[in-house]
Amino acid sequence: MTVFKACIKICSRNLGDILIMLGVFIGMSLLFSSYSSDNSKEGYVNANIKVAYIDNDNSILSKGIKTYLKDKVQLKDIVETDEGIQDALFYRIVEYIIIIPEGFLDSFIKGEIKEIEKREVAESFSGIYVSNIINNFMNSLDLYKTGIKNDDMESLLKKAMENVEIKSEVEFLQEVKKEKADLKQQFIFAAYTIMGSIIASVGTLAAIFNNKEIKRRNKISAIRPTSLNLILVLANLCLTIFIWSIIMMFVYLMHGKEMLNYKGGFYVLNSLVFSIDALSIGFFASTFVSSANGRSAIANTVALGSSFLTGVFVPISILGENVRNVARFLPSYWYVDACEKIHSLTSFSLNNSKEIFINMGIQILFALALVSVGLVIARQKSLASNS
Amino acid sequence: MFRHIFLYRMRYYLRTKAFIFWLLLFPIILSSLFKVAFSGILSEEGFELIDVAVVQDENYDSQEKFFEVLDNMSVKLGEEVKEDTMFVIQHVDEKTAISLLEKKKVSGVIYVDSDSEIKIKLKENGIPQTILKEFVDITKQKIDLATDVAIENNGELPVDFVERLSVSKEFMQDSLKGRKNPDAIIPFFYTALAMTCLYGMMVGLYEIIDLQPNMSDFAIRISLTPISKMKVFFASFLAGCTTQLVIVFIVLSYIMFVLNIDFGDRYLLIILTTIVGSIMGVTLGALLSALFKVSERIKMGISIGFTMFCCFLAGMMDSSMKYNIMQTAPIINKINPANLITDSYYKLYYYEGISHYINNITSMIFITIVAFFATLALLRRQKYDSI
Repeated sequence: MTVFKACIKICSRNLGDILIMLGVFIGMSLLFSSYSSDNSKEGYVNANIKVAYIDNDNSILSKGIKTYLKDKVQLKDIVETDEGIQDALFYRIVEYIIIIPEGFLDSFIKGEIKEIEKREVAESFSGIYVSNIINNFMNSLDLYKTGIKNDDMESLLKKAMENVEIKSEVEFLQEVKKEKADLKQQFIFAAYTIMGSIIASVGTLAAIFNNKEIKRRNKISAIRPTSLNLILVLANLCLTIFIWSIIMMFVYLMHGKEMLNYKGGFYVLNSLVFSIDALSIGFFASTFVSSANGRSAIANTVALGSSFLTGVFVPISILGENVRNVARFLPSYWYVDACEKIHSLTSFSLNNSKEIFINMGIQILFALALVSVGLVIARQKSLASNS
Repeated sequence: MFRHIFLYRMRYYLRTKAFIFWLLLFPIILSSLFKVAFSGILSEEGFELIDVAVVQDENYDSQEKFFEVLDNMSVKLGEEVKEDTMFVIQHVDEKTAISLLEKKKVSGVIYVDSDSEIKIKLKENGIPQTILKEFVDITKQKIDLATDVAIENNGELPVDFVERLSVSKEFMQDSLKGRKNPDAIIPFFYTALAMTCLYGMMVGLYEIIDLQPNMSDFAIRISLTPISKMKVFFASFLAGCTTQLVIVFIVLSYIMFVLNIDFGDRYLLIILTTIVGSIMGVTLGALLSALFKVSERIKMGISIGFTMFCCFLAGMMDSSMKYNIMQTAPIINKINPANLITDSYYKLYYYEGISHYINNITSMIFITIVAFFATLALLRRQKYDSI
């Protein structure tokens, strides 16, 4: 009991430190979730992509293309100088710029292709979408021109515009509910928060009790080493759960209503398991790093590094298969993966949730492994210092 | 005396290995992770064939032309892949098709309904589904177009039209003018560099701590000496800046030459940015330390938290954060030190002129000078009478 009380005292003295880091992380997650849109999802096309249309031809053809694009993208005006174009892309006023060259109509009628210039922010699905719809329209137009020799441009344009509106009807097997991914994003970002705050904080207790003098005093005391260690574990667990509950509280404040169902329950359980994982990483790190700065360093490195690799900030589907294969060795990968699976659950059943439980199980395995290795290292160290 | 203090302070830094390690190693690890994580995005992945189930029932024959085109772009299940193949199709009945879709053995199901309309059934939205849908749409459009042309030409199709039908022309081309398009990946490395510069706050922090007698023993001794505090401060501050400069340049060289990230070719200005950025970091740390009368650990926590938060706002975790802020609260981008550094590098890379860059570097120099003099002012007030 005395030991436990001592742990509480240590924690409360260092509370400021813990709370600052926690505050920063939570602040970031709030901002992240309030701004984030699901536009990094694979295959997602942003039909509201901002596009600038610079017409150097001013012909019926170039005006026709603009009309065609009007309701498919968000057309914006920009300063049409070279510098204006550079600025527009740099500050993301638009993400795609179309430049119709002079003489476009004339070459089109002659059957030559004078290419339309494009500049985009970076290769993205939305950019490919814009390129595709313009190409499709122009190809239809060209086909009509080749097929119907005597038609005038206006009539050709009309035919092409009608033609490209022909689409096939798509049915989905089940209602693919356009569920907002807000809650999922919030919990995925929480991986960074959880890792960063817990790894740094958990090390505090361990480092203090690993201090040579304190360790020696404890060794000759009446308390059994096993009891001491158990109490330390308990104290660390309490600290972890304390930090975890603060994080959950904030998530609840942001998304309260959405969480009151089976999905919310899964998210919360998943995050608790992951917190235990973070605890084990913190414990593992504290066995070989004893300075406060060192622990903070490791906490930041592990938290940020594994967050990037395991798809917390950039979805892993975009990062690629190679990264995914490396990421599987990190516990946060299984956490993020579980969050994705929870999000795509359509109903609650033991069958559907099997995979989620497997993910949680893997996280627990990671925790056990890290704790075991940590214990071995600690034991080796104490043996070494004894001999 | 100045030289003495400077040299000894430099020696001090060279000996505190853990400190230097942390300042140097974390950015290097992080940028290496970026490179690993993002290399997947840059690599060209081969096109994967798309599995499709075609429902062969009584309505199938009404769309003979469509399926002829589809067959041209496909192979049957188990057949060898030809050039230009996009799909692997199976002709099955409706029930089997749906079951294949459920089990995700096919990406989509194509069927003809009782009104002879071609329809698609999907289970989810992703790249294969988008490609499939596009293909069906375009094929339908072409068939319709050909029918139109045939009607106009009294039931015949001109020869050049038929030839043109199977060709798809590219009308869009990347603009050759202007330097580069904004990149999606490179800014991450610039933010990593900004983070490195801002981690210099820890150096600045310790500069001040080692000058405040209520914070460190070393400072108590220093305050007893007959040397003016200002001289000591300048000398050791210079040593701190030099150390930080060396660290940042090592990281910069690593990112530029080992990871091969493009910074453009305006080397002198890149060096200037790096120097100003590093000094700004150290000065901000000194200001923080002089401003808040809290324990060393909490100061570290604040400086790390502040750095990560600034980098977050500059787009380190989610690159769209910067642009969101630009639209909602642009002033933040103008005073965020991490953003100023990141943007400086980015402007040097992207723009040809210097006007945009000048704004940034001026702000950075301004912040540095203000922070420096504020620190001095705060230090001056702390005088110790002879006790």
